[in-house]
Amino acid sequence: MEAAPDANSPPLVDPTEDVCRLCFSAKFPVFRASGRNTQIDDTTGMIRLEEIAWKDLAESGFSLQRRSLYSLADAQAEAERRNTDKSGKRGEDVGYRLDGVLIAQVASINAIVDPAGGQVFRVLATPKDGAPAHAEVRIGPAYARHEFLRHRDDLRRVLGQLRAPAALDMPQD
Amino acid sequence: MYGQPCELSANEFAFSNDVEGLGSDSSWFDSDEHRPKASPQPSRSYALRSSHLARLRAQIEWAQTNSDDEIQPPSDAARHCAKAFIENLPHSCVDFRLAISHNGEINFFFGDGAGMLQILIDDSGHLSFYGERNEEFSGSGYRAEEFPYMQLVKFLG
Repeated sequence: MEAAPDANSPPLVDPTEDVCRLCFSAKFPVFRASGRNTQIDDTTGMIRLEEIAWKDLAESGFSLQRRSLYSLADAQAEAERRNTDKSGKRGEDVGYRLDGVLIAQVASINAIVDPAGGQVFRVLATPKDGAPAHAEVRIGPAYARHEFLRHRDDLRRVLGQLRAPAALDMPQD
Repeated sequence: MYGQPCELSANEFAFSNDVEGLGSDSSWFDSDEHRPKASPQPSRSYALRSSHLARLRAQIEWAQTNSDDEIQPPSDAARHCAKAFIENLPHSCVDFRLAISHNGEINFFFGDGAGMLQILIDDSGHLSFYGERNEEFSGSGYRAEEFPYMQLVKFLG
């Protein structure tokens, strides 16, 4: 793992590692008021642009999992946990389930650069209690919101199209 | 190298009237050639605008009703900004997709593919936008009443 970009920052994830974004769907509107309840754009097979939010990239982190530390069983357990939580609040089974995963090599995310050649995003290792594989994408602190918009689609394209959940247990390319 | 120096930090309120690429030359609309044309179908634009306002209202109500650790409704400032933005849009600019992020950010997408224009309203209630079609049209930190609507008309062509 690479050194932290600054003393107060979590360490960077190694560029050779793959990271995954879990994508969920549900029978009931748990993601949006109308339309199909999935985080994926059916026309492109990629994550909806609005799922990549400014505040996530700038403040709280866009959550990922490090593939080498994560498994299909972990992802299914997370979907089940969320389904139980959402169904409990709603009073009926909302059918929250794992739709699939987006997978990218960290080096590909690091390779997104601004017009001056500066690295826009970085991937930080941010393990949590019970989630040692947790990582997150952050945008550089110098970037303004319109610069985030410029590169949001780049990040979406690097994450690529949705893959079957079983891809989590396949060896890294 | 990580990023490049910029006058705006991630948590800093960005406010600028400098719209990159298009300049601030108000004489651009002085000629008939460039003057925005009235929508050929004002009734259609009226219907679209009304539909967007209704959808905005419905999506915000849904987010307020369903807020939890994954869903946050837009802030009051964002809601007011979005409503004013839609109401102020010229007739020729009301064809867009509206989408609210899980954390309450309000997004507008005009077109798709490489020439797509994205407009974002964050929880401070300010507009940021980016699109590129030959020229870049971008800016951060605008109030709805300050947004360069006529330059949007030009951008969308």
